[in-house]
Amino acid sequence: MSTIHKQLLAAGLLASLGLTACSGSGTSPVNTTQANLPSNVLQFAVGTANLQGTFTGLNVAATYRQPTGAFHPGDSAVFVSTPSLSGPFTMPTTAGSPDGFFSTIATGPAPLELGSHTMGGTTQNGQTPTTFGTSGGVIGLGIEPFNYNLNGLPDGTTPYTQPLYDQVGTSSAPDPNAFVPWGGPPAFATVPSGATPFVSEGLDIFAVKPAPGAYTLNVNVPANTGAFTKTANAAIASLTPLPTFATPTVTLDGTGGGSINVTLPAGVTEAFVQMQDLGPGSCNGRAGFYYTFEVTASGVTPVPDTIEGATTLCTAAQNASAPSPSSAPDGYSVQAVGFDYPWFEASYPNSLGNPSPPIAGANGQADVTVSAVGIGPSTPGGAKVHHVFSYHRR
Amino acid sequence: MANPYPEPTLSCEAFMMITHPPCASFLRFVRYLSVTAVLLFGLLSARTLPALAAGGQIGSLSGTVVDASTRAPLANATVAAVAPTGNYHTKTDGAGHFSIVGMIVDTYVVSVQAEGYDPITLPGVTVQGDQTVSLGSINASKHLQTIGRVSARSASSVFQPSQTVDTYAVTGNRILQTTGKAASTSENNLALAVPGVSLSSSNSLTIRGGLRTEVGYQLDGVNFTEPFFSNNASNSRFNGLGTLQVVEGAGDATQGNVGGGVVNLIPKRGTNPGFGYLDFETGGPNYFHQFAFEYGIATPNGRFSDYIAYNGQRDVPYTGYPMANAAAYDNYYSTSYQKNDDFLNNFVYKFGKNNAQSFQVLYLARDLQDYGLLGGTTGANFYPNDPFNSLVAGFISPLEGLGALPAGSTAAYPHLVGLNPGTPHTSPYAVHDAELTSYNPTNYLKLEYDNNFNATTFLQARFYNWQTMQGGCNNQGSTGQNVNSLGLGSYPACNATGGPRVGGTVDLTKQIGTKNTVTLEGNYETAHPRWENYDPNAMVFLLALNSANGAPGATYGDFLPGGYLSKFFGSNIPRIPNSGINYNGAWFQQYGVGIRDQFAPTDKLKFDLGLREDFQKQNYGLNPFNTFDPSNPSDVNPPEISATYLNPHELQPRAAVSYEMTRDDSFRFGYGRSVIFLNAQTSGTPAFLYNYQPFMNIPATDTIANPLCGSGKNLTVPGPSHLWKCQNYAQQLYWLYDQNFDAPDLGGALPAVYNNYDFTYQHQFKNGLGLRLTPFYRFGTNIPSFALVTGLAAGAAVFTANNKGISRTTGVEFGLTTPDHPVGFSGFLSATYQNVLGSTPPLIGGEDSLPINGSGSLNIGDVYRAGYVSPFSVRVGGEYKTRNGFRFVPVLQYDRGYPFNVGDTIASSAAIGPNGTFVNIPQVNFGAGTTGVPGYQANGGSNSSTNYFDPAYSGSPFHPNIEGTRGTASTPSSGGALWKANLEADLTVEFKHQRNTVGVQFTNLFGNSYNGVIPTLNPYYQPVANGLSGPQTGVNPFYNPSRGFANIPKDAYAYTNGAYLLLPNKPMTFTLYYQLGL
Repeated sequence: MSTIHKQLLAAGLLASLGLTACSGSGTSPVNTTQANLPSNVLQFAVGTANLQGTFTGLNVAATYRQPTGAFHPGDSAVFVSTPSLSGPFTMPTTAGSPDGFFSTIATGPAPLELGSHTMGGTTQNGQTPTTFGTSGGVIGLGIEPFNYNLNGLPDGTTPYTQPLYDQVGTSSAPDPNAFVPWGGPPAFATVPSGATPFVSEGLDIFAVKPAPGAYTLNVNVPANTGAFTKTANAAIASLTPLPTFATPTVTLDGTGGGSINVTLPAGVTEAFVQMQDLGPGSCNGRAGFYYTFEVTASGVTPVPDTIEGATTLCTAAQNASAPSPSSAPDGYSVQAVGFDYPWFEASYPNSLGNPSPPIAGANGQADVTVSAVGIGPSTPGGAKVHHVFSYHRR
Repeated sequence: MANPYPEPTLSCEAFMMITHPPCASFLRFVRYLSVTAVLLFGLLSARTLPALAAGGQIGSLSGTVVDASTRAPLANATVAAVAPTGNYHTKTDGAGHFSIVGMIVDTYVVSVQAEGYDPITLPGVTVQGDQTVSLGSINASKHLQTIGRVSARSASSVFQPSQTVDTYAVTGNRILQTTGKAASTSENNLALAVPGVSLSSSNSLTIRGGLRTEVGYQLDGVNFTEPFFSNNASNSRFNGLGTLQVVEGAGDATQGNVGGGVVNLIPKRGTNPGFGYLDFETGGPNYFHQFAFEYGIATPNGRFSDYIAYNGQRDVPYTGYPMANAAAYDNYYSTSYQKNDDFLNNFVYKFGKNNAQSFQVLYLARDLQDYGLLGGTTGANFYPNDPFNSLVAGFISPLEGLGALPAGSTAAYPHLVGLNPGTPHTSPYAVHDAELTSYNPTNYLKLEYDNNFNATTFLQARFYNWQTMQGGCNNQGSTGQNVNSLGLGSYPACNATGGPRVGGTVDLTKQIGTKNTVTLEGNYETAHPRWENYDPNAMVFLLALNSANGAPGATYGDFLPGGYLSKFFGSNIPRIPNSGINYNGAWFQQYGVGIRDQFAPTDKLKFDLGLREDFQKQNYGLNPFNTFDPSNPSDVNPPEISATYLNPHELQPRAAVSYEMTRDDSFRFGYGRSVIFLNAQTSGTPAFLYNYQPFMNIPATDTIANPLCGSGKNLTVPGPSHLWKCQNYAQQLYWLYDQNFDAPDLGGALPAVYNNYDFTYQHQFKNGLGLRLTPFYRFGTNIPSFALVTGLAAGAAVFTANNKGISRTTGVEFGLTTPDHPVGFSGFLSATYQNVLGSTPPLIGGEDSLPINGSGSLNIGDVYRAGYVSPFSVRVGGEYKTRNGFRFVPVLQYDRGYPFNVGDTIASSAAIGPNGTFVNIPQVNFGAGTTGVPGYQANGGSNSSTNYFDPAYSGSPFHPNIEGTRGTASTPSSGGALWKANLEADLTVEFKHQRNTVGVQFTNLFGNSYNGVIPTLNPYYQPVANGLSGPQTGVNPFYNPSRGFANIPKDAYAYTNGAYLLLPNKPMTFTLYYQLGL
C-alpha cells in the first residue's frame, strides 16, 4: 500500500472514530432547560366574602409566580398544577356537576368532598370529579381553569364565574348576581389581538361558610422529573365580614358615558366596579364588553363617553333610532367588589415582574364584599337593582 | 484478411462482480428467456415513453497522432477503441486528428496503428457520458510499443480534467465501495458516493441542496420521474446497474427539465465472454431474504448481446423492536412486510457495416408492495382503509363535534359513507389477512436506435413508454387536503399517484472540423398524471357541517330516512359519493430542442456552449361537473389558464469551459440556466366524485337566487358570488367538495427557473489519487410555492400555488478517489457543504417536495434556511482486498445534523401589521403568532409552539407575555439549530474462492444511526415555566394512534419526557450472503 493510501485509510479511521464519538448514542433529545420548582413563590391568603349581605362565603387569594432570576419573574410559575385547599371549613352537602374536565367548582363540591374539609383537584390522567378537576390550577393570579393541555393551549381562558359553588338558581334561571371577573378598561387595558379579550381578575370566592383557623394550600406540580408540592398557609382570625356593598348608582349622560356613584363600605380599601355592556344593540360594537373602574374612595367615578376608541355605551340618539328588536336599545349591568387588600396592585399587568405582590390586608386576611348587580338601559334613568337571592335556597 | 482491430483482451474481472466461464446450458436458457421476455414485454407494455435528457450513456473520444520525434502529424493512422460493450474505429485525418462520437460509456482499450510505426496500445481509456475525452497527442514511434500519455484513470475517478460539465460516474468497483457488495439495491447508498449528493429529511436524494423534486431522475438516459409528484420512479432502488451518472447543476444544452441535477441509472449490457452471478441472502434482525441473479452475454461478433437481472426481496423491516411485528405494539400503520420483485433485461442488436448500427430494447418490471398489519390482525376487527369499520378501532367520526345533527345521524353513518374500492359492503366483517397498504408497480420499456454513420457522425433515437403508480390505502388521511387541520383526526383514505410517460428523443452528433463537435437534440413526451384519491369522509364531514349549521345546499340530512333524497330513492338512498381527486384524463406535453457545441481550440482548452428551449403544454380533461364551461375544469378565472400559464416555454443558455493547466491540474467553470415545469401536483389538483352517477338525475337544492355551483373564482360567471345554479344534485356535491377541500386549483403559476454557477479545480496526485473541489451557487426563482387559504368550512385550510418562492444555495463539493487496486486499499471520500436558503419555513411536512408557506412569509419575503438537508455531509467508502481472497468494505456516512428546532419568530398568520400587512412577530401559541402551516414538525397550531403565553396575562401577539418556552435550543428562525451529528458505519466482509463468494454485511454497525431522521415535536410534551418539560409529559395515556399520533411505537413513548420525539435507533442489521459466479 502506498503512503498516501495508508494516510487516507488512517484518516478515514480516525475520522470514523471521531465522528462516532460526536454522534453519541443519539437516544436523548437535546437537554431541556430545567426549572427550579422549589424556588417558585406561592402566596396564599383567605378571608370572608360578603355576598350581597345574604351570605358570608370564603374568599381565597393566591398567586403562584416565578421568582426573581427565573425565566420571567412574576409570571405564572407553572403551566399545570393540581391544587388542594384544606381548612376548618365544612364543605356543603349538595354535590355539584362535573364539567368536561371533571371539575365541579361552578356548582358545588365533588361527591367525594361533601361534608369534608378539603377541596381538591384531579391529576392530569385522572377522571375523578373534584372541585378543581384537571383544568384548575394556581397561576400568577388566583386559581383558574387555565391548566395547559396536550394541544399546547390552556383548557380554558375564561376565569371562573363568581361565586364558586354557586348553588343559587338553575341552568335555566341562573344566579342573577353571578359574574365573570373579567377586568376591562379603563382599569385593565385590553390587549389588541391577545389570547383573551379581557384580563382575568383572579377572584376565587367560594359559597362556603368560612371557619376560623389555619388553612393550607397545597399545589402539586406533576413534572416529569417527579411530582413536586408547594405548600402555603394562611389563617382566618375574624369571621366578621366587610359590610354589604351597595350597588353603585349609574347616571348616564346620553352621549355614551356618565358617572358611577360608589359608596365604599367601611374597611374596603379599594373596589372594582364592574360594568358590562349587555347589548343587544350593536351601535358601538361592544355588546358583552366589560368595563372595570378601580375605586379607592367613595364618590363619583366618571364614565367617559368613549373608552379605547369606541363609544362606551350607546348614546340616546343611537338607542332611539334602533330599527328592530335585534338592535334594541343598549343595556348595561353594574356591580362592585370591595377588597381590604391590594388586589388591583397584585393583578396583571400591574404586577408584571413582581414575584410576590402583597395579597393580604392589614388584618392578615383577604376579605371581600360583593354588591348585588344593577341592570339598566343605556339611556338616562339609572340602574335597576336586581332581586337578591338567598344562598340557602336549596 | 486479418482483423486489423485487436479483439478485447480484458478479463471478465474488469467488468464482472464474480466471474467464471458461463455454463452453456444456462446461457442458452438465458438467451431464450431474454429474447422471449423482450418480445413479450415489448408487446404487452406499449404504453410508455420519456423525454428530456442528456442521456449519459454516450460519449466521444478524440486525439491527435504524431510522430514522436518530429511531432509531425500522422495521417491515415487507424485508431480502434475496444470494450466489452462495443468496438469503434476510425482513421486520422491529414492533421493526424481523430475523433469518435457516439461511443457507449465504458472503459476502452484504444489501439493506434500507423504504417511504419510500432502499434500503440492504450488501456483504461474511459469514455464518460455526454463528454468528449481527449487523449491529446499520441506519440507514435518506430521503436516504442506503448506510449504512456493516456487517460488511464478509472471512470469513477473524480479527476476528469477535460470535463466541461460537473459530472460524476459511479461504476465498477466504486459501486462496491459504496454499497458494500454485489446485488445491492439501495440507490441512495449508490448516489451518496457522489459529492454534492445528500439525503433529505425524507431520505430522498437531493443534489446541491435542491428539493428532491428538482432532481431529474433517469433510467438509461430517459426521463424516469414519476409524473404526478416528480418522485423517483425507481422507488430508490436499482437492479442490474452498470453506471450511475450524476450531473450537477444544469448540465449541457442537451439536458432539459433540470433543477438541481440529474441522476441517471445506466444498466449493464451483455458482453463476450459472458458474466453473471447467483445471489442468496438472508438477514436480520427481523426477517430478510433475497435471491438475485444477473447474466450478460454477447455473441463473439458483438451483434447480439443481452443482459438480464432479477432481484427478489422479502423483508420485515425493523419498526421498533427486533423480531416483532409492528402491530404487536401499536405501530399499526408502519410497513410490517415488504416484498419486491425487480426484473431488468437489456437487449442490444448491432447490425450494418462494422456493427455501426444498433437497436436496443430495455425492459424493467418492478413490483414493490408494502403490507401493514402483518401478524397483527389477531384480535383486530377492522381494516384501516375501511372508513366505517375503522370507527370500531377508535377513529374519530367526521360527525363528532359538529353540534346539532339530525336524529339518527351517527347510526346512519356506516351505511352512508362512501366505500373505497375493495371495501366489503358488509359491516362488521372479519379481518383475515395482512393489508396491502402500498402498491408500486412499475413497467418500463425503452427502444433505442443508434447509428454511427461514421466516426464523426452519430445518431441516437430513443422511444420510451413506462408507467408507475405509487401509494395505496392507509390511515394517514387524505394527503394534501388537510383534513387533519380540522382537528378531526386521521381518516382512512386511499392515494395512488403516478402515471405513464411516453416519448422520444433524437440526438444527432457531428464533428465539424477538428475543433467542433455539434449535437442537436430534440425531445417530445406526453405524461398522463394520475392521482386516484378516495377521501369519503371529507364529503361526509362537509354535508354534516351543513346540517349542523343549517347551511343552504346539500346536507347530511338529505341522505337520512325521510330526508330530501328519500323522495327519489325511497328507503334505498345510495351511499354518499366518495370525494377525492382525479385528473379527468389530463395530459401534459413537454418538448424541447437544444444545440450544443463542444469547441476545443487546443487540446487543453475546451468550451461547451449551447442553447436550448423547452416547452410545456398542459391539457386538462373535461370536468363533467362543470356545465358552465367544461373546458375550465376547476372554474378558475380564465386569465389564470391562459397560454402564459398552460403553455410555458423557457430559453436556456448553457456555457462551460475547461482548461488543463498541467497534466495533473485543471479547472472548469460552468453556467447554466434551467427550468423545471410544473408537475401535476404543482399545476393543480382537480377534484372528483366517485360513485356520483345515481345523483345525476336528482334536482339540486340550490336556487337561482342563491346558486352554489362553481368555484366562485371565475369572474366571468355572472352574479356577486360568481356561482351558478347547479344542474343536478351530483354537481352540487362536487362543488361543495371543491370549494372546501380541493387545492390548488389550476393555473396562475409558472415554471421554476434556475441559474447555476459552478467552478471546479481538479488535481491528480502522482500515485493516482484524484481530487475535485467545486464551489457552486444556485439561484432559483418562480419556485412554486403553496400558500394556505383559510377561512373555509370549519377552518379548513387548503392551499394555492403561486410563483413567489425563491431559493439560493451556496456550497462546495469535495471528492477524493484512489485508483482501483487489485490488492490493497481503494476508496473514495465525498463531502458536501451546502447553505440552502429559501422562501419555505423550514421543518414543515413535505418541505423537500411540496413546500407549503404561510401567506405571511411569502408576502413579507422572508428567507429561511432549509430544514430538509444537513448543511454538511460526508461519505467515506473503500475496500481492502487481500491476496488470498478476503475483501473488507467499510463505509461511513456522516452528517453534521439536520435542522430541528422551532424558532422564536414567525411571519404572522394574519395581516395584523400596519395597514393590514403581514409582519414577523414572536412565535407563540395564540393568535397570529401561531404557525398556520399544518405539518410543521409533524404538528400544527399551538402544538408546535416554542413559546407559551401566560394564561394569567397573555400580552399581545407583538409583545406576548411568555411564561415558558419549549426549553430547548432555539434561534430566531426555525431550523436554525442542528440536531446531533449522525454517523452510520457499515461493514462488509467477504471471502471469495474461485466461483464462490461468502460474506456478511452489517449496516449501522454501532446501532447509533438515525439515518437522517429528524426529531419531531413531542405531541405529549408540555412546557412549564423556564422550560422544564411539563406535567403531562410522559404520563398521558393518549398515545393511541387513532388520536392522530400515528406511527409512534411504544419504545418512543419512553422519550416523551423530552420536548422532541425521536423514533428509536435503527438497530444494527446483518445480511449473510452466498454468491456463485457464472
